[in-house]
Amino acid sequence: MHELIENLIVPPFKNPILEVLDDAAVIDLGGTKIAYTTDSYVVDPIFFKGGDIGKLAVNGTVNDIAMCGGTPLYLTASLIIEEGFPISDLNRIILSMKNAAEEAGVEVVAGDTKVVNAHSADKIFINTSGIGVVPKEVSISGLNAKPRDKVVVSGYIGDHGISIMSQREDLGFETNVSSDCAPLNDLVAHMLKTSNKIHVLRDPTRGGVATVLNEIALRSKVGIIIEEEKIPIREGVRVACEILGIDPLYVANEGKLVAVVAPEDAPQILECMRKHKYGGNAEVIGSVVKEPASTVILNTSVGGKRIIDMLVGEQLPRIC
Amino acid sequence: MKYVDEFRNPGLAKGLVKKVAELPRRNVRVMMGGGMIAHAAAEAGLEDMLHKEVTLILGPGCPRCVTPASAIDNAIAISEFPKTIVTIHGGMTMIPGSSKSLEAKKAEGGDIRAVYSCTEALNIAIKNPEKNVIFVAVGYETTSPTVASTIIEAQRKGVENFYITRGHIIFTSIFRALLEGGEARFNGLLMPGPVSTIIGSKAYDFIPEKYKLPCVITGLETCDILQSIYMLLKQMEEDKPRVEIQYSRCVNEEGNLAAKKILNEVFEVCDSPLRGFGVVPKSGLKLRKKYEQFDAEKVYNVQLEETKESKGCICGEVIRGVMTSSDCPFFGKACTPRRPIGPCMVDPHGACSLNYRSSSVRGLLRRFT
Repeated sequence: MHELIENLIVPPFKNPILEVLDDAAVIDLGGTKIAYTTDSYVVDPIFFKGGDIGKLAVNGTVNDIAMCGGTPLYLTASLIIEEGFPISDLNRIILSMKNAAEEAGVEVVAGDTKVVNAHSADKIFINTSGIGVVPKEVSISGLNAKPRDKVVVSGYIGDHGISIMSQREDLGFETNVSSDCAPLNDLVAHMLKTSNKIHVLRDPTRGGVATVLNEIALRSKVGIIIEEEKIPIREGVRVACEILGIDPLYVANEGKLVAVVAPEDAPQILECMRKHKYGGNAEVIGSVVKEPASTVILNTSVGGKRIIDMLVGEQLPRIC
Repeated sequence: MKYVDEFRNPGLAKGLVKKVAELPRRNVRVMMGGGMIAHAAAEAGLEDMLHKEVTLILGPGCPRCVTPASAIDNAIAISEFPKTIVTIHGGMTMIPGSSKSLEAKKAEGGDIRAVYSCTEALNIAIKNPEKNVIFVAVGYETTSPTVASTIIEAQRKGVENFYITRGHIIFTSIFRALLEGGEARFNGLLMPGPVSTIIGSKAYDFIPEKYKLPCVITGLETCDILQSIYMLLKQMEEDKPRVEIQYSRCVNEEGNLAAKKILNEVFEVCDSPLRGFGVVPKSGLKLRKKYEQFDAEKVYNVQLEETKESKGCICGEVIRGVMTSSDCPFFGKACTPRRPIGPCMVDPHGACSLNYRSSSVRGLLRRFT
């Protein structure tokens, strides 16, 4: 996917705003910095423990704007619905979007609805786009990580991915883990009030924390060293990952962020995050180094080291 | 996590590393006889912790890596028949055949489905009576007994549209072929606990008896592997090669008798091709006459063209432990996990993929490029 985007999709549209490849584009519009983003949601199952496709579609776009340090304001929503989709389910999804928008403090101001033939789409797909304002003095980007910076995660990782996997019938395992789907704009606002030395913010959705750290290491041309024993992982997620033979570092999150911050501000940022509803289990998990550049290394809890690479393909349960 | 954390205790692990370092052996080459051991060792980063004189080499044992290109070619050819669903373990879909993988075939429109178990494939057959469902059977005795019991279940239920391919491998046969070939140089063998739970420790008796090599059956947690390395080195020091069971919480001499019985009921031994070895006598399993109605080869008369392995790729040599990944001109350059050429790079438990992620090998790579 990473190569597909960089080699095939981005080049024809080549422009300096797109090339930054952050979660949202930051544009200067007559002296106002605007964060602008779009995302499509095709999650299966559409209803899951801790959320549904509607809540995800609102929070995902809200979070992409928040990860640029922006205050999300307005959203659009486009629905692609498969013929025969139950009205009661649609109603449930729309109400869920309304509630999510209220919590995040954004308004849905435009939209589109298409119904397609049966089998031309899988139940329902949602695209949302969002716009927000970035304060002039804020400059947060995947390009900004510097040696000695600290790497922070806002809480337990892997909840969303494991929750979804456990509810897909083909894997046949059960867990009590709920998706962490949540809006992070208020948490980010609090963090920005605490420190002006937040260099990078990312929400580790598809591909998980490992993928986000690799993107930061590549774009900022730095190395990142993380400590296995510091990474907050819920027991249920650890157990599920052990059984399935997958690495929680690559499992998706929908209500967590990774922040790269100046070392001197790390303690107060951590304290501020831990006071927030969506940052209660925040931890400093590692730091940024100059060499080896563009590489993420994990110090294992038993004292070894291993390279955390970009995820290739899908993580699949082992057979042997 | 109970029964896991105890075996990953950092203090215990460091103590074991120290004990290994204190043994007087020099230049010891330990072959890890299974992808799972190598994967677990890489996950914990053991390579960096062990004394430089102890080298862990990756042997055959990853079932996806020794599955020959012809098995993939065969599955692709079967998927081209009408009203046919090909099912396969998820991890196998990316393994290259002569011209493409099953994943690529799926992208072209073949009805190829990744399944978690053979039972799942049987259920697909029951739900789709108008189609033929083929399960691509691969792997060792860790998976073959479950396939055997699924075949019995299919017969009991009278399912007539379910078939399996001939791809199961007898685990020890690879090591017989490897040791018989006499090319690989190592001083001792670590054997994986899971398959040994089924086949029992006696299955390895030929290793010390015929080849005078120490052998330890290991669990897959960090401290299991470290303790097994210690046991192996201790055997070398005493110069009394034998089969020892470190993973004694699961493995015994005889193995799982019920699983062995069901295997023997459904399958008989046959000659079979292995990647890197050619056709190895008595290395595979095929359905007995009583169950041959489920044999895909009886229904699908597939004529394969000559199978081709990627030119210049040394996966065969890497699998046999004769060469290492860094001997390959493609390794880390033309062949990476993102653009793999051979199966050892495709599979996350394969030697090249593990070496690519190992920090010390990557360090070497950087120095020389």
